[in-house]
Amino acid sequence: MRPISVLVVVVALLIAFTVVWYVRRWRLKEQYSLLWLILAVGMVVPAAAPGLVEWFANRLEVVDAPALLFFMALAFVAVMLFHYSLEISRLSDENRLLAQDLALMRTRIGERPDRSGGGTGPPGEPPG
Amino acid sequence: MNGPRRRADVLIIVPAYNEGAALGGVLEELQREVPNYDVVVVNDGSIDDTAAVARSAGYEVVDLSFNLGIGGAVQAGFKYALEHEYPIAVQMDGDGQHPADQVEALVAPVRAGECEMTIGTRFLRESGSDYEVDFWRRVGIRFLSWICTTVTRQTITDATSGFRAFGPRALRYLAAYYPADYPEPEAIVLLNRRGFPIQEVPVRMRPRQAGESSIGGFSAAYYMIKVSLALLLAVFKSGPANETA
Repeated sequence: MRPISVLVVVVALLIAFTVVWYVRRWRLKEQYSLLWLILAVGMVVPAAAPGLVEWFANRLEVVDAPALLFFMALAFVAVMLFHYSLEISRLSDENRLLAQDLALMRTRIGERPDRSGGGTGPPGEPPG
Repeated sequence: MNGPRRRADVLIIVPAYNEGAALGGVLEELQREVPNYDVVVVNDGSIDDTAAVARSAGYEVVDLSFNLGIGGAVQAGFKYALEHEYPIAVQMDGDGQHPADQVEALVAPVRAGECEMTIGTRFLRESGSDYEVDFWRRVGIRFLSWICTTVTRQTITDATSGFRAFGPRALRYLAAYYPADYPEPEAIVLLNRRGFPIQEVPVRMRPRQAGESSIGGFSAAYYMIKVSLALLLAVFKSGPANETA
């Protein structure tokens, strides 16, 4: 086994360990943990079987086999980022809906928002 | 403060973000010019006395906990209109740009069932606005209006105007689907795509009475790119069919 292969396996194990640790602490959703675990496994495969990368590169007529690895890594990152864009869009939509619902509900019951703590503006605004 | 508060068939939605200085005058003018219409002020997370000004004048306030931007604020107004079953709503800025005596002109075609949205325009010959829109702003508005005109195959001259009236079907649609920031041009395309008739109505407007415009400086270019893209994408956006909207 080449040293780089050992390194890759160690990093992959580290990722897997970190992911599981955060899931256990309720700080990472299983949904996202899956992505990172796939990454960890995906890293080990070319390290364990370098011939596989060569073979794939040949089939795709990639001159420099490692370039294929970089391409796949970039593709993975791009997909992840797009996934996050989707999530952010969804979250900001839900955030807007909640703010509107809350404001309408407050109007209905005639209550005023409490801006004394946790508001976005500076405190000390004169009460209405 | 409980129960439906609806007195009129028209609700005037006044979105306001830090408009404490101008809002009082706007509300007074509304009281004078269209005393029979209901008014709701949507306070878009202002850090000044916007909400207090509206409340002390006796108006209903929808108080957003944080700044959603004009789209989210106006949509909250649409939802309020639905909740209280107003068949017609008017959107009108809280900064004094939109004279209250022009409201009736916007409402009339909607009430007559001629269209589901009217847009108050500064740029028709009959508008008679008594101020000049500065050059670059005019170029931007022209460009966006041109895109809207092309996409809807209907002449639009003031795509960014936020002085509008809405009928019941448009209200129900926009309460569910409304673009978040700088929504005015996109709403034109969305409603047009859903088959809702739109009319432009010449109105007189004034320079803003106080406060800052939400668009300007460095963000202007970004705004133009973002809105242009949104307009073109709006053509493909899905949504409920006209009947169910």
